[in-house]
Amino acid sequence: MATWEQREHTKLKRQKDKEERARLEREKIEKERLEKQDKERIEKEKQEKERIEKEKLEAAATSESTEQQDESVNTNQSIEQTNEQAAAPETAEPVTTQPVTETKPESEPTSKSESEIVVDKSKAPKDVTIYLNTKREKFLNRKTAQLSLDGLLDYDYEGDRWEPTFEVRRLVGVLSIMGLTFSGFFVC
Amino acid sequence: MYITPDFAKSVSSWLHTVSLEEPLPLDHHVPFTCDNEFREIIDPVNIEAPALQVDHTRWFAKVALLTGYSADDYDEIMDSEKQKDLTQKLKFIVQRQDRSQLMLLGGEWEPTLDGDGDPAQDATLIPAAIRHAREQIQLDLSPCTRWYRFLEIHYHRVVPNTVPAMVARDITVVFLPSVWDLLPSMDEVSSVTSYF
Repeated sequence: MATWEQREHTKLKRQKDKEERARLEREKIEKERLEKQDKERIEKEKQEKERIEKEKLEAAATSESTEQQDESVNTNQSIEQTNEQAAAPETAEPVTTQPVTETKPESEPTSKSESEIVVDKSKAPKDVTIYLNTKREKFLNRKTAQLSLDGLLDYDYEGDRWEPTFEVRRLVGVLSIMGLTFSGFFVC
Repeated sequence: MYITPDFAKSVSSWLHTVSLEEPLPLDHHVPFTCDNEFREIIDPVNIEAPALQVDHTRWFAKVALLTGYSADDYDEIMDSEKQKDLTQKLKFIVQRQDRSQLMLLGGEWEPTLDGDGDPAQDATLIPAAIRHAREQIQLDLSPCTRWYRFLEIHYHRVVPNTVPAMVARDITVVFLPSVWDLLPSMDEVSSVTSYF
């Protein structure tokens, strides 16, 4: 006849086995889920690659025909941006068809990704504009913004403790002192 | 207004560059689009800021890009019912860092990169402003034909570990470039748009 200790031992063993089986089951499910995810990701990448290839071919064909027509026209470098985008071999985004004014450096040392900035068509401005691109590794925490003179005059005074902000405030202060009288604008 | 401790003096250069006969042409409306998405375009020229030296003067060239006002803005300002002010319509391009810190575009003049010369002269500092703007916002300001020297801000700094205490100078010159020169003509725009 089994003693109390033997019964307890058997009970513990069964419980451990049960836990082990549950753990294995969980691991199996997780593994299957990850495999499924990977499979989906690979499939998606494949589709994306095919789409890009297709776009590249179309863009190259469009660019060829455009360049032939464009030889005699001396267009502004900034406006040509859209044409250059179309010919860009490395770009994956849709080609912009809006006249985006993009002034690019000419004499800077170029890197392999130097070629041009591609603007998503949906994000492209409707009218001619000067396009400013800020975000780069060196200035990660900086953003370019348009602030009105009025807004700058009311800007948080605490920020003035930084010299660059102090300079902005000083400039705006001088402009307001100047009263814009010298701007040729008659303020009533 | 908070004044930074190193601030020494401010020189209103606009008194010599802007006059009633030749006012700032604010009626040139220049629309800007700011794209703050991450894109690495060019390799920046990395230069360590030189250490502050005794009797050393550093020059900084900064630019304030002014948008001007459009015809619609003008109508709104002149409309007494709308009560809009010119200061609400005039806009600047500034850079914002860490929420509240604002800064103008530009940076230090480097003789090796921007050319030697007298830094007190516009012609010497303008290349530095162009170089920095190019690096900071990917914009080439070299086609700007007019550069209004607007303001000079001087700082006097005590050089650390000098007995008796020595003072070094930093001078920031703020320019208002004629950014309207960067916009293409109507002919150029129509020649491009006709392709699409």
